[in-house]
Amino acid sequence: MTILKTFPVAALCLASAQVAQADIQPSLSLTGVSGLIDMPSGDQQPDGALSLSKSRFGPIGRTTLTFQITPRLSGSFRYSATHYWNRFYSPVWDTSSGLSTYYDRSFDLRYQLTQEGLRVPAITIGLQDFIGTGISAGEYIAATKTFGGKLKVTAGLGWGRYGSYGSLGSPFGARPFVQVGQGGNLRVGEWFKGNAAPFGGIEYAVSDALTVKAEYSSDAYLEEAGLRQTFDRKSPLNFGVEYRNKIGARFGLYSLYGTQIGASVQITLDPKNSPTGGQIGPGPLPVRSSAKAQGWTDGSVTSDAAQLANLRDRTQEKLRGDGIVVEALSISGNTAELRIRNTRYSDSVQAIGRSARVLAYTMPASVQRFKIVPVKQGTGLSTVVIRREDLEALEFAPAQDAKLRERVLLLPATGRAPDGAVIGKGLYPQLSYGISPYIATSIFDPDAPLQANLGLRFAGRYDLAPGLVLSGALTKKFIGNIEGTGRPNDSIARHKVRSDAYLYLSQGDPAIETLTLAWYGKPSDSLYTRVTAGYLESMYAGVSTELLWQQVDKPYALGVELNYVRQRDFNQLFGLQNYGVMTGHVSGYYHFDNGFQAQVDVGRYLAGDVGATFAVDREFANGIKVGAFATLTNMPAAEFGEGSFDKGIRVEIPFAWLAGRPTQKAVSLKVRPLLRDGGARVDVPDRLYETVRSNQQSDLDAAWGRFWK
Amino acid sequence: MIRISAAVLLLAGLLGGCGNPILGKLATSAVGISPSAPQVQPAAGAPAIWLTLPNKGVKFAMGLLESRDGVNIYASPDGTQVFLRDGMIIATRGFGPDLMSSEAPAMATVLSQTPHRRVMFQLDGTDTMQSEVFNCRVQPTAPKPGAGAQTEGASTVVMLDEICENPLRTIRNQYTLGRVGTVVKSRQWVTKGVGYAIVEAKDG
Repeated sequence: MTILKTFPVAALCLASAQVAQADIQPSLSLTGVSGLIDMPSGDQQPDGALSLSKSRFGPIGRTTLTFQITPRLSGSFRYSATHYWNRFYSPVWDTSSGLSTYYDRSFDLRYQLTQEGLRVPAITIGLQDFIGTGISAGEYIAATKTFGGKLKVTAGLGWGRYGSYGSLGSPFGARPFVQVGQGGNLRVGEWFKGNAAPFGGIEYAVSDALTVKAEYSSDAYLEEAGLRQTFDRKSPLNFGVEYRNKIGARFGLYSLYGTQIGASVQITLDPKNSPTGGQIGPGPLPVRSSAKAQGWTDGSVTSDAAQLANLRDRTQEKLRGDGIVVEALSISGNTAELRIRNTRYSDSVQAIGRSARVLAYTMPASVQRFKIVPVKQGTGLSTVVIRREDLEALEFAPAQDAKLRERVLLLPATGRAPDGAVIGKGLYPQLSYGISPYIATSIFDPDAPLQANLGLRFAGRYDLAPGLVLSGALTKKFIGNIEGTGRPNDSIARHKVRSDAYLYLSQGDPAIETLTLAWYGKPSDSLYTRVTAGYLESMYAGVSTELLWQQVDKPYALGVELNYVRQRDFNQLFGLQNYGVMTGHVSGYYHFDNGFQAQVDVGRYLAGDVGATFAVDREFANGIKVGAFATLTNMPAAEFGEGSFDKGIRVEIPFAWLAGRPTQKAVSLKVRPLLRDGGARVDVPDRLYETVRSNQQSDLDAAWGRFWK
Repeated sequence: MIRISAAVLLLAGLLGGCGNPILGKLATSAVGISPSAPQVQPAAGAPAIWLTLPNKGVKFAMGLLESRDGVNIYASPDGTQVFLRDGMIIATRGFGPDLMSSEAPAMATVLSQTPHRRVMFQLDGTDTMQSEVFNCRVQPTAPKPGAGAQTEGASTVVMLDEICENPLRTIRNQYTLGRVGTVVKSRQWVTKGVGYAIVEAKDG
């Protein structure tokens, strides 16, 4: 036993890791979906799980990101590489040849028809590579049943790629040839058509950590093993062993098709099980009863500015440890209004809860009602009204969060502090700055699939007045290989508005990423405004204006944005190129009760094309977001190029969830299979909806459990 | 072509969040996580307890921070807190997988060995509150040699086991009572992530 003078945070981490390993999860196949070795199964991952897998056997490598969208529906994005692609056609290998390795991007969707029961197996229907060029296209239905908790048996029927070996015939007719054109289109006509073949296998858990697998594969690898002879397929039988470590990573080693050795690494993040089990760190200030509250000795309330300033300073002193800045404090009657800027917590609710406790500590007994107004960009976003007696009554009550939420009022906030308020000390004007590392990557280039630059970012912000901000960021590369591959930009779009992005990454050193003057306003309870001018992003400079209508208690919002931008010089300094465009969108936002967030933007894009962007994200109260987007415009597929239209997936994971420490930093990743010129939008910093929404009822309610944290 | 502004930090976070203290420190400093400081500390000379977390193999002192409505809040120097009512743990803060609140029996209910219900509330990884309900019974047990009985005198010590069950788990809380019926030592379940905590008076 170790006796410690301070709290053993590291020991808590250790214990939490043990918690994370408790649940046995279905494993992934080499294609990165729930499955056996190279065949899919009827299993699904835990709801909300995000899985990353990397596998290689023989000449075929795959990297797959899979998200369990709902308990029954999952989606995957895969990047595959098949080496020796031209072996048959080019007897002399030339690895510098552009097509020596064939790279392909594909999307899958799987839906579980039945969940496993006592007698019913888990049955899943799946579409593989259903929207790409179709090299890996296949459809299947797979059933999996568990016996005795340790043995899983899977049987399935496949079409397309999965119907290419041991076919039973074509129950639904011949598989038609579908013209893929530039790709990116649904090939509905070929689904479940053509030869169908059975597949199956078993999975046995030798222990919690060790699993063995065996399967019969119905994939003949007609293109890879047949036509192009990239490997020799001698047998349909595959065997494997997988080891799962204490933090849930899975490592597999396999024998495939009688001639090949394979390996895989699988990592699954389950949003419901954070790596640390929760936020570690100092607990909150205990709620102090009114009778013991600090404050003026006579208990009366005064509007005397000096006394109010003194009270503000005491409140700020107590909030400093929580990274909460007092924007303004005012007292009217028995009500204190505290406007706060949260600089530490990833959600507003915890900052509001901690602020309420501090008010209970610092306010005189005569103040019986607290109004807490979260502020961003100098603008009040909502008003949370809490009775002091409720704080005192519920601090130790079971289900305190739900009980308090029933008694709290959520009201609109004014944009600026009310007359008579004392403003936070030294806030305006105020200069802040910082240095952080950055990494910029270029992926999916056929000649160099992964390129990256690493350097430092210098960021500064000068708050001139509430809502008026001068800010900028400068990057300096220290190491990297994003230099371009020498191949000319093959875009035939009328304006190369995004396909030149690699030129900016390779020539901008040092680079002025952004340099803007922004003004944020709130002309009414539900209207927010923004004007941003300057170097808006690495590729565009100009003026951006935005208007957002968001009522505090409604799950929907509407926005309008209008921009005039000019393309910047590739070196990302002060120069501009000739191309300028007026762009703008009307946007609708809706937050569904089940955590899904939908957004539709209709308008004119950077290349002058007109259309709409559709986005859906699944969001968790802890801030994890996983979503997909697609933009359809009037730019013809031939002009857009490969992929036909802009689409992609995005993931955001708060560092607070990963590290168990309060911080607002997050890891965000946006992946587009192809970055082309159609459907491209200017990337304006601090758009209004993302600024405002975290303090509206939908988001506050979702995270309300953290009020007492 | 994409930009991943913090992919390296994700890797550092995954590696460093737990398990590798050096990388963890690098990761947290790289993303600007400032260490939080407790806003208040127990007063010098305040009553204190020892808290032991057997699953983690650690024991540390906590001082009385605040008393209100029959609840004593004890805090460690780092600011983690345990809430005790009649010696019964009703909440914790700062432990990570905290017990956020609970419907716990009064000590009189335990002393009278009356069957009762416990409800324990905890935030899951998505910050959604989850409750776990237990049905509990109490039974006396014989003190084990060296199990804290020496300080009170073996003839006067009462030991009680509170056994709480639900379909998922069974927990066994143990209370050692002194002459005046107060809890002098206890072993109580906190949450799945923390496990049991042993609370005992710290006599300086």
